[in-house]
Amino acid sequence: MSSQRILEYVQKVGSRVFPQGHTIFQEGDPPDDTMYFVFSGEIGVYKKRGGSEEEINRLKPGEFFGEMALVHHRPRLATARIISPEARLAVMDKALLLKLAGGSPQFLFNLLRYAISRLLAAEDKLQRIREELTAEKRARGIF
Amino acid sequence: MSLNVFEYVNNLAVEIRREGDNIFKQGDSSDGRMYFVAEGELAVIRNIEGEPHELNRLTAGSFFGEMAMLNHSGRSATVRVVSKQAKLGFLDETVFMKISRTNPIFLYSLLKLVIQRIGTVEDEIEQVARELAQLRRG
Repeated sequence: MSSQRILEYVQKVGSRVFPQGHTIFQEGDPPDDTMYFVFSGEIGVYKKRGGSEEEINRLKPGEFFGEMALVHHRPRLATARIISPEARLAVMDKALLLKLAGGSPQFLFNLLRYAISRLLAAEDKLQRIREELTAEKRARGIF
Repeated sequence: MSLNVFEYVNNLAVEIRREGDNIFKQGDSSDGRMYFVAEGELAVIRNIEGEPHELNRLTAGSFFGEMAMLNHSGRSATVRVVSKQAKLGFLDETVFMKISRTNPIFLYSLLKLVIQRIGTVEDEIEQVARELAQLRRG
């Protein structure tokens, strides 16, 4: 199956269109084992800081979010809201992911690849910030 | 975090490596394999500012090398045998895809584990960032 066909397949089985302003989930919502993949549109990610909401990230087509819900049964850590006129998202729970893995592993495989590149980026960032901390400690004579 | 690939594959290729052997080194181009630890212990070592730092230990049930295999990128760390010997199973992308088709749960479990690792690393980033901010505030 070509990647275009896979996308069409996933769009058919598990995607939905959401209007602008729609909140996908809210910080503190109970866990629901669902993650999302962005086909079209733009999503803002917000966290409560003090009394107000602060945008911490923007998600574009090809990105996924809410994935921690698959591994930790803890409340949502941030709020996700549609900021484009509309957005098409794949809404994926364990059952759908397993179905995809069996029927068209390529999609899950791509998701895995994407997760791995995000992990690599996070590891690089961790290394950089650790080096920064070491340098800062050295500059202050703390070893 | 572990994934028992031996549950999914009957005739996984296996090799025995000795203490001190590097399975691969940071910066190596990928040999196209990912590995599963059947027996023994290995250390994951990364150079930070030119100094080797041990990041992690791998024991039976652990896997490694999947990032370079799936991403076609270079090895991001060195993996060395630290027990007397280690028994490792390995597979390449073709076998990996084959297993994924016949055992959807395998691919799903791997995805979950990678996501879990992202969470762990992000938590660590937050911790170090907090320490750094505190230090700068004085």
